[in-house]
Amino acid sequence: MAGFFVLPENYKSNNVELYDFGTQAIFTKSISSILANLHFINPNFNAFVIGVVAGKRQYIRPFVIDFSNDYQLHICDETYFNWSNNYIAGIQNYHGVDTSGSGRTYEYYNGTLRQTTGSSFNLSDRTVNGINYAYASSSKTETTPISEAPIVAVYTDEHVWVNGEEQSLYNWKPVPYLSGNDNQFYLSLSEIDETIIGDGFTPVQIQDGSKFVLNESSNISRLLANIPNNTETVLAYSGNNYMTVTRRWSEGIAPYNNIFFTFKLYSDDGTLMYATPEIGVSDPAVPRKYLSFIIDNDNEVGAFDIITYNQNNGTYVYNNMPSPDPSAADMYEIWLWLSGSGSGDPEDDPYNTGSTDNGGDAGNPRPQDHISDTPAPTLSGLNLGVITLYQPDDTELLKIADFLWSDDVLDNFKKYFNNFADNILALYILPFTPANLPTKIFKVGKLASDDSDLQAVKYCTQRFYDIDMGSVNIDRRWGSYLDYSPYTKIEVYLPYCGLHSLDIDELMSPAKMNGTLPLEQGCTLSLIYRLDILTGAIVAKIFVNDDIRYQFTGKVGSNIPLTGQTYSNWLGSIITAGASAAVTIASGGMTAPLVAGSAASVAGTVMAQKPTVESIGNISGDASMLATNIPYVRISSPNKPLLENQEVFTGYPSYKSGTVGSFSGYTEFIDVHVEGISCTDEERVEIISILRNGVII
Amino acid sequence: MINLKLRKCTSEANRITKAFIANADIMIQGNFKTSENVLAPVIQVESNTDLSEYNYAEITEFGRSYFMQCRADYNNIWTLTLKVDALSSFAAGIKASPALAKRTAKTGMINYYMNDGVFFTEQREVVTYHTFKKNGTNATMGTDAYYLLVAGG
Repeated sequence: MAGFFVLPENYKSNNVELYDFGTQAIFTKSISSILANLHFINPNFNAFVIGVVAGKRQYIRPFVIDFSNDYQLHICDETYFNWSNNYIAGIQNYHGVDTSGSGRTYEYYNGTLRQTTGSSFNLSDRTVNGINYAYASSSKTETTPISEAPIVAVYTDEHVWVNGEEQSLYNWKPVPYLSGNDNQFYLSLSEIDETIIGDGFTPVQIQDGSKFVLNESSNISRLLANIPNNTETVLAYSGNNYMTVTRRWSEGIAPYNNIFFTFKLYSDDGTLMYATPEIGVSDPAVPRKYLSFIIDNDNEVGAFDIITYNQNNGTYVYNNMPSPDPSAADMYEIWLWLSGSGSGDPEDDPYNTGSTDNGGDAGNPRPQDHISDTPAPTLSGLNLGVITLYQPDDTELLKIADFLWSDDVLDNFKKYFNNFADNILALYILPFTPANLPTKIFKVGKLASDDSDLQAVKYCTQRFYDIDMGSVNIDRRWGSYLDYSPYTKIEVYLPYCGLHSLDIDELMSPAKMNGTLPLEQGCTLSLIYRLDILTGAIVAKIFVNDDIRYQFTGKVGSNIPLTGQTYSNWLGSIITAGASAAVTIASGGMTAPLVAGSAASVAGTVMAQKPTVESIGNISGDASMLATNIPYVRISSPNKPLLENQEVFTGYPSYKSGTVGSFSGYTEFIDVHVEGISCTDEERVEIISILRNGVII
Repeated sequence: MINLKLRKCTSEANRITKAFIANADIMIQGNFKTSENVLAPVIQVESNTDLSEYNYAEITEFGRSYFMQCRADYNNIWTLTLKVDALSSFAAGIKASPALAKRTAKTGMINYYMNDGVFFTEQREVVTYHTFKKNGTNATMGTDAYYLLVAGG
């Protein structure tokens, strides 16, 4: 659970559970008793310090929360706690352990958080409000056991404990940075597309207090691998606003083979609020850049942070940020973006399907299984000496013709065969050239050519090839039911396999492995062709976020007749295929009723009246070589009027329950219970009637 | 005598928390014209103020707010016809009442996946095409090549 927490208003009456990283134990203390014993808490200031611990690396970042100013949170710089002696060892403004006594502390004074430096600060005169006051290896005698440490609530990567309950608040928060770098912002929540940033199985984690990223190497690798080049991809959604990432690969362009990311923040209406500079992540010459990054934590939420990275021995290492990279103006734009984002709490996500119970079970999980591709068949028949599949070029083919049709050759063949056509089995063209084929002397049967140009002809030892046909992102358009069937339709054109319909419902919300629907919408379609170069058979495999979901068959290749018999067979197959295509087209026409619909029909009615149009007929075999060889998807989606002032007109679909006061703007209720109001029956009936017909709250 | 606060309401009738023109309220006293229903009383008041601009009244004694229509009778005598505004009169209790919403404008209580048939779509639709890309360029199988299959070899 990413994020920080703010103590409740009546915090002094609450207990908190503290987590001792030294003993791995949780114990309870009252906040009031802790505050009473904290001599760094200046009672004149309506604020105090909270330690935020990021477990495994024992980093800590102190918070100061201003209770007099809307609980505004201020985060101090990096600090380091040494738990080995079971007390707090000191604070430092930079990285590493401060055992020299030169720790830095912080105080909240007249509304401003400021830093003090040096080891001479007096911890007992109540003038210093910051963390902390004891040094592990100095002459200071004021050491505090962990049980009395000034931590009134503890954050770990999974738990924030207050009064025995996990607490969390998910709001975008501005965080003026302590070290004079104002206007740095810290986000506690965002929604991320796991399929882009992660593999869907291993959460990407960041520990907020320290900005220490676990599994950074593998995660950045996934980011590198899964973001398509030159395609702006929505990476994060906050409830209203969203963030995109675009990857650029500098193949062939200096600096060579570097990967660059650009992150952009958009408001909900698509206005670009902020764009990061292009960030190179594989250029050792640029070792420190600031990377705006989305971190998945518990498969639902993530944290947006600005971190640095280095490339070190082939691995990516995140570094703590010594200063913010964006300028103050940049950060202001980010703040505008954030302030317009509303709450990032998943429960407030406008696309959240809610927890309304309409009967039946409570939605038992139905975990699904990962369906990966399987290897190609291992038995190919190519390496047994029975047949040989050459892959000659034009020159070699000319020489082969000379070899085959010379008198000497025919004489030799006649020794072994009665029919020449039995030896030359097929000559055809495929739109695919295997790489790194071996070569050998051209032979037919056991008879080798002595032509000098046919001493090293490429031949195939592998029959089945998996060909990467790229990927395409399927994004939402409306962020509503209009993105689903029957309103939105999607088809995929697969070269040599034809046009096929896909299930837009599945592509818009591919279920997670645990069986739940994702908050994010859309997916990445990846296409792999498995080609049998001996027969031209193709299976087009479509992966939805790394899981195979569709498989279509096709046939590719253009035959070249060698004899009258093979030509006759080949021509016959074309006629048959053409007849089949004609039937397909005719059938499509017959099933395409063109119904004139009312322009004012509701969405479902309109979409149901749309005609079905056949745009591609039967594409397979020889004719398929003449069609375009670029795979693509075709998406048809509806248009809707963009309405304004819905807060006073019709509102939006809800079907959620709560008190009337938990709703706002125009609201219609299916039912309401107003038995607790002291009014007349006539008034009660009127109230219910009005609430059902629509009120403005 | 009954005490009334007359107000100039600018809100829709179905808004729970009404808005009023600032500094326009007046206090006035009047009498029930007859024995009246508390939900829809008719009250006569005497005032040399033009009451025709007032459309809302509050009667503290009844703990209720009212939509108001007024009629000028004679010699500064006005007849105020009131109808209880049940929403505003019991706003606090209503807001605390549990309810199941069909539609709302409250962020966080909206489910855009629900299709309740209210919204319309246009007859025109957008058809877009998106190619599969590999390293930023359109993906294809590769380049053409000859294949020659022979016996033996």
